[in-house]
Amino acid sequence: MEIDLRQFHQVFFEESLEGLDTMEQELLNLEEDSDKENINTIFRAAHSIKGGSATFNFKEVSDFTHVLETLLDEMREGARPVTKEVVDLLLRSVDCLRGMLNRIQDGDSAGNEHTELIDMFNRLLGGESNSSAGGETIANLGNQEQEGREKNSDEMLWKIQFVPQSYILETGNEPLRMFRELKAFGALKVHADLSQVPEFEELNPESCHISWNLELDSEIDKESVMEVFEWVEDDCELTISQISVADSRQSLNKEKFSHADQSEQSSIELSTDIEIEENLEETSTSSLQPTAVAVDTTMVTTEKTKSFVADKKAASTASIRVGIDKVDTLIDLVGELVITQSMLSELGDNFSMSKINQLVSGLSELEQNTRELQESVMRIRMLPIGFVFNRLPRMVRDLSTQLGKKIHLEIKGESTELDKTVMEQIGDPLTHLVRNALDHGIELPEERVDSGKSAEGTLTLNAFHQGGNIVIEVSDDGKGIDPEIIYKKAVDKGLITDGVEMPPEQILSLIMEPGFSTAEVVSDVSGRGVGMDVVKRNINNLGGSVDIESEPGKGTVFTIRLPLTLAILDGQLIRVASEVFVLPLVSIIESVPYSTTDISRIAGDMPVYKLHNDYIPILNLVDEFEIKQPMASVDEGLLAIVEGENRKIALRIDELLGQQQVVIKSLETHYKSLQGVSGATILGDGRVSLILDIVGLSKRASERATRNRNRVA
Amino acid sequence: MGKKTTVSLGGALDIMNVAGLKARLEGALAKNLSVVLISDKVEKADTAGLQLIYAFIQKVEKNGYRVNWQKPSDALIQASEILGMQEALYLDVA
Repeated sequence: MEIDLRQFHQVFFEESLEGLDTMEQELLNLEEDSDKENINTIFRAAHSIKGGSATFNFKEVSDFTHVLETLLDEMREGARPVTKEVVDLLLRSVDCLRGMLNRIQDGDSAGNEHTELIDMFNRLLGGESNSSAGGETIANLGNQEQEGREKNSDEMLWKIQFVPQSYILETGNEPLRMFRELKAFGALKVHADLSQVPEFEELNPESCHISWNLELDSEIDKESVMEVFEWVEDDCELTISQISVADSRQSLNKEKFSHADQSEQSSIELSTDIEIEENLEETSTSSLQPTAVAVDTTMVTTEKTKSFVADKKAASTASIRVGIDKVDTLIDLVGELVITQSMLSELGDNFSMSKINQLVSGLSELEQNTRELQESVMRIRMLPIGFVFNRLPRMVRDLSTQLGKKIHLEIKGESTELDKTVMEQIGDPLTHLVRNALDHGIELPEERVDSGKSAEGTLTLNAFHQGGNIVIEVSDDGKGIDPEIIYKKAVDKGLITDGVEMPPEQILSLIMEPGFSTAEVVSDVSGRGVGMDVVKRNINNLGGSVDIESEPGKGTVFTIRLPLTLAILDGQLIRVASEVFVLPLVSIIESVPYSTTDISRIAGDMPVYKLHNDYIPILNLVDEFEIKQPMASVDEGLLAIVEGENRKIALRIDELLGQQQVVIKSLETHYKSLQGVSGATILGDGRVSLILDIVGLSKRASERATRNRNRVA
Repeated sequence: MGKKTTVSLGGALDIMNVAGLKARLEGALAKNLSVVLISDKVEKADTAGLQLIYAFIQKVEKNGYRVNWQKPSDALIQASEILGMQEALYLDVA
């Protein structure tokens, strides 16, 4: 029977892209701390990609990763030092592989970007292992390796303990074949432990009761040893450890290899190794997540400062991997729900007024079950923000080199979870803020030293939950933003009138106005602003906000607040005539009784309400939505003061109803997009209610005011 | 020299044939004699086959008899060597 391997492609791509992320992170750590385990992790990731790509016949990918492996192997064995040049080359290879995988996923060819890198690898590998091998190909690198190994083959010895499960032979896995493979790598000593073989009568001849201790005298790497056993990994206890030949000889001199005590001793040592091995495996497969979630391909498409740009169109969001604990919780809750439902249905069959208390309690239980179920379902979509944060160390590293700055990146709260959709969309704005902080916020080392700071600047990313929001802070200890300069530039740009009094934070927020954000302004001023209007717009589109705090000479903090999810909104129900609307709770500042005495009219007959020192335009929702029925009270009711994108408006309403979480349904999908309406929801009584978009309403108000002004003029 | 019984191991001393071989070996055991294993035709041997022979030798010896090999094939000797069982099966001196 032939298996269609295409069904496994998606998993392969997801896992390989995850592997590349791991490689990238570990490569970045490698610079700081050359821990051998880091190299092992990188090697394992590369090896998995190589294996998978070979299985699926993505030859370019497997060939390329093979070259990577060769270099990593040398690093792992200590034959090649960890240098910036090598790390740079490996990082470029990670980018290149990402591009190759994305293109293959899109159904295109892998491309030929990797050929240049292969040449570089060949030069690097050939130049050191064989001085005359200037332009050698990958194919004969294997021979070079072999030659190199033969020279000092007596330095390496692998000790392997193999305890198969009794059913192993029935699965078609034959130790004889595996040992033959091992023997091909070098001299092999095999000791079979036959002590567990049952008496002849009791023996099931198809079960295996033998375990083995093996010693392999070979320079091959551990991965190659493990590959021999890869089909039986789950069907045996396997311990592979490395000892020097001298140690082995010493131990052989003391005791015979087959001596029982020796076996016991080695099994104690080996069991310690097992634990380490298992831990290593865990690290390599789930270095990020206690909740075992997968990054989707959008997330792994990082900022590219080099030529190997992963193709973004490949960034599909096909699946999400969910931790089993979350699924178990859901199953539990559904179980509870079924119990409550059957209890209520039984109550309904034999209902009498004496059971009214039971009914009330049952309904309350149903409500609780439903709420918990809703929360749990939402949690399935929640991913740790670390997936976004993790793309930043690479960018910081590349940019700081490029800019000649010393920057320490500190990441906090990376396990804070937020909705997958929100996370997908916050990546770019966040990257932009970080890049601006590096480019323009943090000073050059000499400037910092001159101003009494340490030469190394610190950029901090922090994420935490606050109320129903996730807060992300991007802070730097750079030169800060001077409000006076911003004010002056804003006046020059015609964004504000000279002489208008504004609090400093409002002045700072001007850098995120569209008219302000031009490159030359940024280079002239304290260096913020390129694309900042885009950052703000993106964050607002997610229902979030961004605030700036800055102290000249000390640094700047950008605070992004985002809703945890886009699917559910904390809403305030309001009544206008016979209609019920939903206002996002976060947009409400206050509500005041409506009184005609507090209302003024400005040019264009626009009614405004004076709140403290502000005049706020009033919007009558009956007029805005052409509601036929008049409001219940002409001169009464309330004004709901709401704010969006720093603009306040007052909505004239009849009544504030309750607050509740509403599930947002897209109006655009079911009808069409309307300015001033962000979506719709279904209320408890089955009616459809529109969710108001404050920014859109505010724009409608200002457009109408402009029209009216023009008419008056 | 006492009486002996012989068992021919055939061409394949492997998992495919161990069930049938075990029955034949049980027959030999029942005779309470030393056993000669005729193994010149063995072209294929694996873990299951060698494990069965090991258990058989143990049993015969426990019963106070001996097992001897007759012309063990190269394939058999090599398999026992790679599996580390040559000594336990007396194939190192066969």
